Amino acid sequence: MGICIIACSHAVAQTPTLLPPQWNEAVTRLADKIAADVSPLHPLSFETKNISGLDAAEVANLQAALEAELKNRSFRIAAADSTSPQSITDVQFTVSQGVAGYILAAEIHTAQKDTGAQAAIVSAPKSPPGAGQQPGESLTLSKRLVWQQPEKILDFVLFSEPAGTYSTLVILEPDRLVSYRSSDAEWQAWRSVPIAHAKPWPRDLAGQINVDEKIVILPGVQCSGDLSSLENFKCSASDQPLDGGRAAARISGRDESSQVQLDARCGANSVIVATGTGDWIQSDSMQGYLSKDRKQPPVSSGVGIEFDGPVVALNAQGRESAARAIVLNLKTGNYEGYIVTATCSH
Amino acid sequence: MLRRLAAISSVLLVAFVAMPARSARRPRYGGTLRVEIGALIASLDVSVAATTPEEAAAKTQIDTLIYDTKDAGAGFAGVAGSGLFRATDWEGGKHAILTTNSSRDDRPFLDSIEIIMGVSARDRLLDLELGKADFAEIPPQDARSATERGVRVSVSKPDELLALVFNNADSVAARNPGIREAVAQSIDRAAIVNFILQKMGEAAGGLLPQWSSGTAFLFGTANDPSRAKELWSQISSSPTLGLGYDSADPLEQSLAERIVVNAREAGISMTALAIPNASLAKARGISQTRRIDVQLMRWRMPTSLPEDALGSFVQDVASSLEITSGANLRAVPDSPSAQDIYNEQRAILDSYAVVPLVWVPRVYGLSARVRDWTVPGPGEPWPLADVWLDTDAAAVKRSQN
Repeated sequence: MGICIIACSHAVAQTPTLLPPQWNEAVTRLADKIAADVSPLHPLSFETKNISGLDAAEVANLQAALEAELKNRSFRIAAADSTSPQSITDVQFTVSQGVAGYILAAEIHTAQKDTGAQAAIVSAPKSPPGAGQQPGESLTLSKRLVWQQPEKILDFVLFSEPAGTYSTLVILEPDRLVSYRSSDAEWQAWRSVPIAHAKPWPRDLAGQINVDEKIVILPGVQCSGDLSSLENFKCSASDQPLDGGRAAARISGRDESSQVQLDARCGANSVIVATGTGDWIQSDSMQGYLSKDRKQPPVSSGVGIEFDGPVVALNAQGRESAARAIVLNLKTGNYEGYIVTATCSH
Repeated sequence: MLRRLAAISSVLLVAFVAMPARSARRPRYGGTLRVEIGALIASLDVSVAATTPEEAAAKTQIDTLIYDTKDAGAGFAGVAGSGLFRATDWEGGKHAILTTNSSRDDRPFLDSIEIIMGVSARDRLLDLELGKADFAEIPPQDARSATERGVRVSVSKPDELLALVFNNADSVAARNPGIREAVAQSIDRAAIVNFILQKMGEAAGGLLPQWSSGTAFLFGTANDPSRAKELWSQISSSPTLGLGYDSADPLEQSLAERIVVNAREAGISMTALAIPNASLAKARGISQTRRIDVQLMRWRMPTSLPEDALGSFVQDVASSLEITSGANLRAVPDSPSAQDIYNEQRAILDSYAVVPLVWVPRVYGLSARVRDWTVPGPGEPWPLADVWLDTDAAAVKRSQN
């Protein structure tokens, strides 16, 4: 029996103010370089130095943005006075300035290496991050836990009837589609459709509900019918591949992550959400990105949101500015279905 | 009290309003700028090569005034006198008078520039103090005393590197990386900056200054005498190192003597050796005597841009580095990133074949009547065409005060 929770949780981490895209890109590149040099198994301890013309608030904002990027890469940030028994990697983050512009540098002191500090350096624009900043677009991600259950969830979809009298939740499990209805706070099991499959499921089983086409796709199987009522829902053999969502532009440092482009715009930008790059035994995060066009790399926008386990599936939510995420909560062992909404603000 | 201040302000306001429209800030044409230089320029002919770097640098300054254009090969083109000035009086190695080229619409403010060559640093400073010269370069270590003596001083960003170079391929000691590192660890750069340079410079850890690259802070400048002692104790032969410096360069001599003191404090046996006509020997590629294991070197940035400046450094010193240390030098890539520039410096410095010591600025002494002088950046000529002379005695006096 599942437990349904309707709750909305916003990211509560130290929130960096939106950086201009070029600064954002510089911070992302520095995070990439740090991530390439250090294992995420060891917490990072930050010390920040400013030898540039930027003011303290701008530098603090850069540090917050860098920490957010590193968290998105599965790093943990240790408190300055941390007494963690784990060996901590000290990072001296310095904001400097040369004739070509600002410089962001990280001197990485790992406990394991005797070779001295490694230096990761990136160039930043000539103009300060606060100067000339347009009241540009910014993404805010919020997550809404819709459903959780011990059994594996491959995908889900939530329908609200136009009259608002009841809602229907359809959960795709490996061997069945099951729907629940709610006319108040209680969800009641409504219908269930078994999914027959001739071959055993692969170990990395994935499945997807395509609301627009009213179909459900699993490896070698396709089901179709009325999704909201599950009436006359039939499954048959098929070689229809899973749709990984609209292809997103390449995001630096997130080659291994799940990404999906939402059916939404933020100003002139496309909206992309991407998971972290850790494996499925770690907590995970999700970050919003804005993409002007395919020639320019997407830039992260706003603060990422955290999950207590890996995001094992990520699908665009129809024609909305939202995505459906399935999370394996490592603390409870439950599979959780979230709707992650990206809100654009100007 | 407030009423009294208001009354005084009214009087001052009236005084300013009553001043003539032609203020001391408006440039004036005319006058002769008296310039003194240390170098001896034998010829202004572009086909006659300079024999020393100092002569080459001074000749370039004059060429920028008398030639109109600079060709792609960085030489000067056209006829002498096609520039803003013409050489109307010339005595090689002694003096020159450059007169404004009246055929040009963009004529400079000055009527002429009188250049006296071969004037020692001490005499240049004295002449500035006595008002016999309008413009001269001052050694950075003399900048503080010049100011105290009432000389107007103009200081550039630090763009000249003083460094030790282990460039003698015949030196067994120079080929030993342990010896090179021991020497590098023994040098107290802070003391050099504070006492020898009178704080007119900054300790150098990298091959580019902080203001240019933005990453010089990543290269340490602190000395470690204990590490130097430890390294030196591992040298079986413990040779006496010869440290060469230009006998004609007082700053190099002071640095060499200080480095020898530091080295001896770390147990390193070292002797400072004056090299006569060192710059001449360097310019002609004359090999150094076998007694010299390590030599003081001056290198001036040709440009502010870190990638171009580093490329120039690699080109200028690469051959000697490769002989000594086998440092894995490579050309700086096209459009290098800040990380590339840092990595290139690190590769050179980790060999300890070059040991940066200090960055020093160029210091210019100016008479009170010189106006609108701006400090040129690395590789830029003296902007004398934009300078004008204030002959208004009262204004000059105000400027002096």
